Amino acid sequence: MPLQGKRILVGKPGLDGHDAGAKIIALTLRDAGAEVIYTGLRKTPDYIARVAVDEDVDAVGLSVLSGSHKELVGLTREKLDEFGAGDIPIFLGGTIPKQDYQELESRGVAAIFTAEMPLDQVVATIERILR
Amino acid sequence: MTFDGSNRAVLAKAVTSAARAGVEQILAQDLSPEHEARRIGFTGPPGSGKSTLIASWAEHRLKSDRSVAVLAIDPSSPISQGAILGDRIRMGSMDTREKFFIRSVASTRLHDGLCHNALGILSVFDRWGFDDAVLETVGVGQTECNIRFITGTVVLVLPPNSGDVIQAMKAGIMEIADIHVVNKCDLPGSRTLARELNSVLAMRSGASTWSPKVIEVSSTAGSGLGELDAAIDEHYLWYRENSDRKTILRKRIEYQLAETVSHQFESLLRDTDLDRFQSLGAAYTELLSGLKQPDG
Amino acid sequence: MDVPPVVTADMVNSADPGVPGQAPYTRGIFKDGYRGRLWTFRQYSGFGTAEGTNERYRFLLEKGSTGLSVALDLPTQCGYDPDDPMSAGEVGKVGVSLSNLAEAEILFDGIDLGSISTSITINGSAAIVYAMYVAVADKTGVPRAALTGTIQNDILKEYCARGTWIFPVRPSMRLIADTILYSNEHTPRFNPISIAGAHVRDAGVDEVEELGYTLANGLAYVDELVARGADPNRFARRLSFFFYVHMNFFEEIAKFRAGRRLWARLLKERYGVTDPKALMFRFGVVCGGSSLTAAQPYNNIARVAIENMAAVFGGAQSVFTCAHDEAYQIPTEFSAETALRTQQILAYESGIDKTVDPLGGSYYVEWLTEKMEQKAEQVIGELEQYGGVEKCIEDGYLQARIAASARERKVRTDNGDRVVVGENAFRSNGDGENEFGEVFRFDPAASGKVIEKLERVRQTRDNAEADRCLSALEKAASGNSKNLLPYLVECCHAYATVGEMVGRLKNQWGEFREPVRL
Repeated sequence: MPLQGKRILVGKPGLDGHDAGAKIIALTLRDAGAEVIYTGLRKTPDYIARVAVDEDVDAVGLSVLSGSHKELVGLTREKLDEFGAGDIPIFLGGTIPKQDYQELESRGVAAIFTAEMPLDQVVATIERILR
Repeated sequence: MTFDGSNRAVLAKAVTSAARAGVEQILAQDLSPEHEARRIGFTGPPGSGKSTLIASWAEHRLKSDRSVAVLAIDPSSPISQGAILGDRIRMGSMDTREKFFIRSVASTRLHDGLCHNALGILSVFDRWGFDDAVLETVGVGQTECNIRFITGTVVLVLPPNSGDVIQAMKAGIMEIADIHVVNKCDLPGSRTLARELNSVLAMRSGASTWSPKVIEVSSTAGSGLGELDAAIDEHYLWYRENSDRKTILRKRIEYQLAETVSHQFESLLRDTDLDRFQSLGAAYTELLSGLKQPDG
Repeated sequence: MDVPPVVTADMVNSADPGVPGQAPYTRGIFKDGYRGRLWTFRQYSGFGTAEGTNERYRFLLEKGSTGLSVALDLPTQCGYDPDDPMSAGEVGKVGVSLSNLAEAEILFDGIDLGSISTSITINGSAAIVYAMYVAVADKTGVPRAALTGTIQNDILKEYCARGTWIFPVRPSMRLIADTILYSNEHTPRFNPISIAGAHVRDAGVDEVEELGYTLANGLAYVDELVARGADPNRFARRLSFFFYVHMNFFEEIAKFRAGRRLWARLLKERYGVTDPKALMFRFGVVCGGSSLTAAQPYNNIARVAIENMAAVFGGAQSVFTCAHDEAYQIPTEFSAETALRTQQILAYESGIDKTVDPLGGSYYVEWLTEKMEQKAEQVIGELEQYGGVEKCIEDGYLQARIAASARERKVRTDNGDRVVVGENAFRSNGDGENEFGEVFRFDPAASGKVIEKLERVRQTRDNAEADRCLSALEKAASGNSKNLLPYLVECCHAYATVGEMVGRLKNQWGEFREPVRL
């Protein structure tokens, strides 16, 4: 299994309630061997970062479809750094316009996944980054 | 080190190290540390509301300025070995409180509702000075009796309308539980269940001087939690007075050895090319000799 | 759905689907179909500040829109004021921020609420936003009885797919019943609920589950109202529905025909409803949603046109066509206009409206309608078997079922079983690098402006009066005997904020705890 032994948090920061994508990813990562902590809806960046630290996860995946990805990713990154987990990579999924990619990557997003991206490719990307 | 809320990241790494421990690390573990947290095991069928109950009870505990650590075990997928670790989320907004720490782990291959090196993880909690250490089992049913050997107090959580569950559990987990919680007692069926439990427990032959308690709790309405808290304390006092430290340690060592051997054996089995062998006997001998090397 | 290569007369049970305008309305609820009146073109819009959105509404009305559709931002939908920490980063993002009556006055400035119909996508805080709409009508001198439009007000599907829940299921159901009963009394031409399958569909379930879940939710509301002593012959006249149309053209048409027939039958069988108007299954649709792709976005114009046709063959009362760029951004004026033009081309050029239910009597369509009806009823039965919709939601059973379907659809798309042109088939070189023309720019100052206005309202309103109204609301919410709507309208008039009203209700009811189960 490509993600055997990896621990990954899948989080829904902010108020966006569309969780189909996050749940699909959570199930897919589980079936790729990962231990997945799915936060459920409406979690603050502070909460997500605290859980990531306590659970000592290898990666944090965030799903945002409300257009607030820049703010929410930035806040989550800040909190992770603050709690001494600056080395945890962030993945991002949702409706993310192409023109935001560069800025997000400079804020420490390791990979961005769109709804169209095949799940195999999502798993392979995460595996590569966590290797 | 002592847990003070600010060093969570360090504690988190220590727990991970225990959860991934290899044979040598396990064998070097101190199973009888100087300070030992009160170990409370929560078990019960899926849907009985263990996580929510633990959260509500822990909240109670935190109010009296105690620190609480939880080891929450979720089932692994038998196919991928992956897992969705959902207990923490069911504990709601509790889970990032200052003197509260949760670690979710997958059960991996174990079938006793526990996880790899559960004892080692609990002793990390000891070393970090936690007052209470809670272990939440997977909750698959009556076979989760190993929890008896690694915790002091066993709480069995049952949802209302689980009369048939009682029948199934009579010969298993119910024999070892110290406290029986009828959870969600605001729902219909809880009174009947409590009565049934009491009558089953009354027939339990009394080798022990502890008489198991039945408590009705509603985590959502917040009722019965004080009573549960008191029962847990009462049992702890009884346990301290009436249990033999040597026997406890011996049981832990037995459990740890059995778990380590079986863990090692399973990974050996997985990594060994069985086609190489002419007979079962030859394979057996090879696997046993593999076990003799601590690193497998 | 698996369908046979050809359908013949003997495969259809009831060869005669009846007459349009007669129960059970398989062929439509009106005898003259769209000849009497076209469907409503209802374009969803709203973003940022009330000022900016008001401008867009006037623009849309000028271009020929016949109804407004209000999109609200997530803080408003989830019951937080814009300055609440939970609102950080979300103010004005997916819709307009509407925290109190002063904002509503700006939002509808210069628009005669008595002569347009307004559809508001609001659920968790629907009762409050509806109360605000009534209050703004009061303020501008429009009689309440003249108000027309729809609030979504369907909390059950929020727990399943859309996620803007606030309170636990039980008090939420009470609040919905309160709204419906109050609206029937005071704004009789207003639809106080639009029971929506759209969002579960967009999340990934198929037409059958979409219809089954939606009708099951509908029945749960009917049960709630009947338990309150209301007369289904009356309130059912104002129940309406809301669906997505995706690309399975004939299944979509059959879904609507089956929905009409099944709903009428269920109301009759279960509650003895006889009033022909109460038996009518009226619905609006969205064409697009997750059937649209970010790859080759102009392909979406063709998709939306096909879906629009399916909606019209299915007999929709109102249609919203998504803009082709919605898969990746807030629509621009250009894309929003193209989406509206699509509807106009269909309505005024194609002649699709000339005869009622033109596909009625087609062996295939009638066969498919029957299958759809059977299967949807089976889904309803499964949920009832589990213990009813409320239990399904509280246990997370329904949510887990939807997640499983969503994943299945994704896997089928990934492996090519489900063809999506431009995405998993017929890709062009350089698809990854599409240039998307004009891009909508979100005003970064919107959040600050909104918060500033809110502070001004808090300073200038009569705070003692606002507090009195809020306390009265909380007291009424502590028992079960009072309809809360009059209290909410009063709070709105006193310029109490959405966050304040929700806060008082949370004091009494608590919050929904999401059962995360996968």
